[in-house]
Amino acid sequence: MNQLWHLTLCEAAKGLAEGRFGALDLVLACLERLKQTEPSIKACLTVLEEESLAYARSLDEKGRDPQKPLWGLPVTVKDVFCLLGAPTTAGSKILENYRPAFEATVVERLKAAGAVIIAKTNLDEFAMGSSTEFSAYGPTCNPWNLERVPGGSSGGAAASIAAGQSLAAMGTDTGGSIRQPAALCGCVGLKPTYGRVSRYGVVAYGSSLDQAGPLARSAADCALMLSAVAGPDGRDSTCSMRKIDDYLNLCPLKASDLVLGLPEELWSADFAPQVANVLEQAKKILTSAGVTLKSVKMPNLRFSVAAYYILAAAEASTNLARYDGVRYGYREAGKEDLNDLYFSSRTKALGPEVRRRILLGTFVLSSGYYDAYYRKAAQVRRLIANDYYKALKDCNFLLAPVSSIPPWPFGAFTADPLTLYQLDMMTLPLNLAGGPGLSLPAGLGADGLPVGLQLMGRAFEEAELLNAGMFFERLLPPIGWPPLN
Amino acid sequence: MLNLEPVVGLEIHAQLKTKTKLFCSCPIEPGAEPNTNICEICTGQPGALPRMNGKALELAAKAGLALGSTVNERSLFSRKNYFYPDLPNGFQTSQLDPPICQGGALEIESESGPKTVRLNRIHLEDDAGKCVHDEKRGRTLVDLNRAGSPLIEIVTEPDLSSSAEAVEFLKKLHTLLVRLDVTEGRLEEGEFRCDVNISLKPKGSDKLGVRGEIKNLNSFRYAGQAIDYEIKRQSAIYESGGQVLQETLHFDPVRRETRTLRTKEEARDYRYFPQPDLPPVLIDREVIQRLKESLPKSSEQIMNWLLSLGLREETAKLITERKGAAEYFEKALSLFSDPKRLANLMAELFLPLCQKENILPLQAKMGPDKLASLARLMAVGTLGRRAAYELFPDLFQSGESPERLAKDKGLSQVSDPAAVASLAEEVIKAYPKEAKDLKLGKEKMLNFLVGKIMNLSKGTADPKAAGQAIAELIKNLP
Amino acid sequence: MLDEKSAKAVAELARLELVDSDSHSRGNIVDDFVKIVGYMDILAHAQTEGVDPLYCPIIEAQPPRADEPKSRPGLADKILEEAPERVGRFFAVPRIV
Repeated sequence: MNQLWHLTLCEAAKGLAEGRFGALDLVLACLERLKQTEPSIKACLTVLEEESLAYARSLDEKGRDPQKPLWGLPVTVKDVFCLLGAPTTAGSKILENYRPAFEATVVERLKAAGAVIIAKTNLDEFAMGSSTEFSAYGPTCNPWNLERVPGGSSGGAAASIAAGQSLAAMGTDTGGSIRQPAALCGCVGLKPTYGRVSRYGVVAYGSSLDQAGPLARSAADCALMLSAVAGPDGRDSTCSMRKIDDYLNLCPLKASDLVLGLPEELWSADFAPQVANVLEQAKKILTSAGVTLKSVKMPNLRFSVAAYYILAAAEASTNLARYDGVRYGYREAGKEDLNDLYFSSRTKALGPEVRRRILLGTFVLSSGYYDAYYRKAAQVRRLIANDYYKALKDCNFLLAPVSSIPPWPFGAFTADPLTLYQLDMMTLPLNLAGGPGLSLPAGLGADGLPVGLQLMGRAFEEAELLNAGMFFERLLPPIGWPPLN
Repeated sequence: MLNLEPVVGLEIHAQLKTKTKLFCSCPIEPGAEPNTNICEICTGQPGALPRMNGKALELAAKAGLALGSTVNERSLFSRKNYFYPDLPNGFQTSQLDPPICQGGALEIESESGPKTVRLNRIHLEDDAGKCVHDEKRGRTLVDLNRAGSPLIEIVTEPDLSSSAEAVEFLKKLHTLLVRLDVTEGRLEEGEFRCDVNISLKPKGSDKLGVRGEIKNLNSFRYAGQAIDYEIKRQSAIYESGGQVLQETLHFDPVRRETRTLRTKEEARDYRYFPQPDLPPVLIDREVIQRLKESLPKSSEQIMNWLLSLGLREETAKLITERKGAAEYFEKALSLFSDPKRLANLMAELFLPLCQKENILPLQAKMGPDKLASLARLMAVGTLGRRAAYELFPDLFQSGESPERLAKDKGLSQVSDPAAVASLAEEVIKAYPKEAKDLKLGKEKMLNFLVGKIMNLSKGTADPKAAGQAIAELIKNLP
Repeated sequence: MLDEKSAKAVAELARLELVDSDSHSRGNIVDDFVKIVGYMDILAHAQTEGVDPLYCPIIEAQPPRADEPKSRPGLADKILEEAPERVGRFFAVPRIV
């Protein structure tokens, strides 16, 4: 078995360019690795084995196309991206066997760039969750400890990369769904600015918060992925018209140029000791390298969990109204009354967490409660966005933890949704504000589990953010591979 | 007998005249096979996103400008949430606050004279699909071809007080919107339909009574009948000492009565909130200005303008009322300013031919420039009235230049003094008695002799020149 | 005060039954709902007077599109193939009374 799955995306691209191996060699390596590790981690909902082998062969036959930046590179997409010829389930029973009639812009762009999509990865149902335990198709396991969650909702994507099943993945981040699993699985994850990557063909959770982005093994890999998928798209009205920057040719940074703001409201949380140790260590490394760290105040962050769950749930409650068993998806058999059909199809085929959020969202929009909850939350959202704006005036980036606890054992919080919501405190404020964030491995805790750090930047400054990420990667200790067979 | 008066307000839905739907590029094609003009967007597939049709926005703004509304430079789409099989997303995309247009008014003729009906707002929204009920199978069948079609909803203030006024308002609004090209307005296709709100209040009181809302009336007659029935029904309740309930009603045109669809308790909680998939709707001041300038004038304005040009009332009315006639007239007038001559040509020749061919004036091969040059040829005397009339059908069919065609047909008017003089000589020779009578003072003989010259010249002679030539020649008669 | 009755009314709007499909006991989902909504009341402490709500952080959004029809052969049929029930080219549901 070849070991090409060890390569980063950029290394593999270089190898292909130099003709050291072909697309098929790479794809075969990843598929082999996938077969070997999948029984223990269960990261994928659909494996596109035959299609990707055939495609890789055809790429090799035609020869490398230097115009295609992802030529021959095996990647995965989270199972919320519509792709022709395969089911798109969003991790829900209500979309079991659903085959979309069109393709997501991100998928089109990956294909146009020459990428080989080898699998669709697992997630919490409709991206609602932070552990993949809410997937209707069973949870994914963390490659660093199979009894622990990989994080979520893009947990399948993160676990898959950590295990070496593919070189890069596309996920989505509504409240941390890229950054948090990247941190818990020890990979790099980028949530781009809202509107930087098209949402067209991405099964929606919270429309004003959802953003697609890459997960990979390095910041440079994320940059390569982003440059292929980002940019204006006429099919998504909320996708920005702004041209994309060059993410691939960046000038090296100097530590003395960097001033990082540390939001007090996030750093004052209760951290698990193994997480706190790694974070402290990382801060020390940065300071001694000459990076300036300073504390910043973002007073409205304390309202962010409440504001986020109101707004995300409100949008979700109506985004998911389309799952009614009329045009596609699950329909409960034998119902001769339309209302019965609606109630039983939706109740049976939507999971408890999804139903919980639909109820909350329906409530906060309902007559008599709209102003106190929904409108108030949208006002708080403005205050939080202003907090980011102010904090980023005097620093290049904000630096924050990603998760206050290490990957947790399965079932630890499933009975306590509110605690689970509060665990998103580190990541979700950024989605409210809209800016970009990059999650990087900071090191391994005493328990041998990865701990992440995130950098947050100004809107549309992904190039700067990725550049800083590459700089920090060189400073922070490498975490190596998980102890998987 | 209680002295009650009806208070009526209308919500009119007009389908905008666009080629594609409001949020996707599916064609709008009434009568197409079920579910052929559908895509991922208008069927609410997971991951599909809307993108607004710019033309629909302009048409909505145009309607508002014609009705004197304020067009908001920034308005917002909202989701209106409810479940129904013909509503693919589980929400309608509509506008709550702010809508594209606010305020405005339309004046109607009522029994008691002119009446101003104020508008509350105009907003954009997408239409639902259609349900067909299949009794035999016990199924409801859903066709989404119409789903996502662009609508404007025009909401009036409760300023109407009878079915007659409401019908008058609907007709006038319909004519205006069709004339503006905002809607095709085909009632049978449901492209212009309305909901009616009716309540009764004691005469002279400001306090509105409890209202009933009758949904989805797609004919003027049904609207009138429904209002009359509802007024009767509510009056009877009050007369018997009862209370009218706030209800949503359906009108049955066969039985000519309303029935309850939903009571107030069952009223839907639509949970409106800003549609996050669509950015705020922006319309530039310059675009509003351009639309304003492109607006055809109101009938009253056109009528007054034509009368001020000295046209006869009958002619002015014809040009005002015939669709597209005023625009054609205005263009011709800008090329040759002889309003009376142009108007007469239009009224007597041009418009009847358009009607026969069933085309709009500006669709005729004979453009306003041709009408203007024809009028010019007549005014300078190159072409006589008779010759012009004879030539007209050919001009209309071919769209040729009138000069060329007149020359080709040898109809150019003879005003050359020598040519006319020789014709006059011929006529006097042929009618010596009549010529003598003229010389003796029988003035009407002049017309007779000029007529003969015209006959002789097949209408090409300039009658004025002919008259002068005869007057000259009879001086020399013995 | 939120209780099972108000939860029921909300569930009705959302076309959901109030069952917890894990345990099939009714208590859970209602209790969770009440607890979660209770937590949201923290927003009452935010100073939002005169603050313009932020609904969506869109920057330089796409302008409206041109009114040009696009034909995509086969698309409609492909969409229809996913229907749980069809009669001819119609989507079919139980008769609405």
